[in-house]
Amino acid sequence: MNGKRSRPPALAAWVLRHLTPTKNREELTGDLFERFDEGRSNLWFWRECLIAILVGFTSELRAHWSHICCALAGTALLMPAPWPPHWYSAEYWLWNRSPAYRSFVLDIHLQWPLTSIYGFVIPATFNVLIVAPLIVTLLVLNKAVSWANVFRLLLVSILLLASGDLVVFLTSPTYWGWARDCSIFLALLISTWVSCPSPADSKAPALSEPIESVE
Amino acid sequence: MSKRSYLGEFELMILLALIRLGEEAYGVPISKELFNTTGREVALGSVYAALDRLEQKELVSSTLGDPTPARGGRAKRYFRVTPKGLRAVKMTRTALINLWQELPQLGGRPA
Repeated sequence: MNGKRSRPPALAAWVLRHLTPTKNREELTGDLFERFDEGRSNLWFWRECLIAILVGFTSELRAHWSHICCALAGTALLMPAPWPPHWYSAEYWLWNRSPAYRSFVLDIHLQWPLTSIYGFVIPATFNVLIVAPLIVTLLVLNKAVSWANVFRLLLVSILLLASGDLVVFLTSPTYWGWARDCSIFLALLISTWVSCPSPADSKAPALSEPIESVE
Repeated sequence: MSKRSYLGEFELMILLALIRLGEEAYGVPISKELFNTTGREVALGSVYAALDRLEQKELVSSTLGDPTPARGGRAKRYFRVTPKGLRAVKMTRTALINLWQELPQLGGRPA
């Protein structure tokens, strides 16, 4: 017999509250508290918490597979191409080939920190325009096409891509490396995840028909 | 041709447990029912993940109950099989019976 305890391990309960998907989190936590109150051990509680987190994480991945595919495809489009002569991203290629684009980015006279913001937001905007067809496809797949969703997704993507580029620029000695690819992937994944609702996020309709017999 | 989706083993077990429990089907009794009838200890997180999938497929519906002190003031979520879920159970049972009837050497009756 494990002995009846009044409270389950606080750290396990905290982990459960913060690392499981929000849907049914309270009900699951309540069920685990109820079973623990019946005499289950601390080890059992920890095991249940870790399984709940793992199962919740895989469920989230399964529910948002289109977001992950969109982020991967977008990263592939924006990352340095592995064949010459386009060694760098499309935006970098345009920077090298188009004096008009270069002057559009450079020949604007602003005070710091606006210059830095401008220097990162303009390339990010260009990159988001490159992946815009992917973003629209994602919205179509998830049946969430509306001007508000398109605008929000593009805006969040621009902000996150620019922020990611800025962080990588400030912290990574080799700006064009795996760190930038990761930042692009994370920026696209987060922006699509938060701005494009998946069908799994919507609640099932309420029961309307009476239940018949199994036989 | 109409689209038919047969239930997976765990989904079928969950739906049958819901039918057996009736009005009292929430996480704890469902996991206990699965243990009592199959001898299989199932984590509550797995039960809720399966219920979530079934709810998205509109095979089950749920309602929120009242909070209780034993649950740290948290409410129970009661689950119920929908008519669509019941049809899926029947369809899967028919498919399994038909499959078993083709295997008399394993105990199924010949067709």
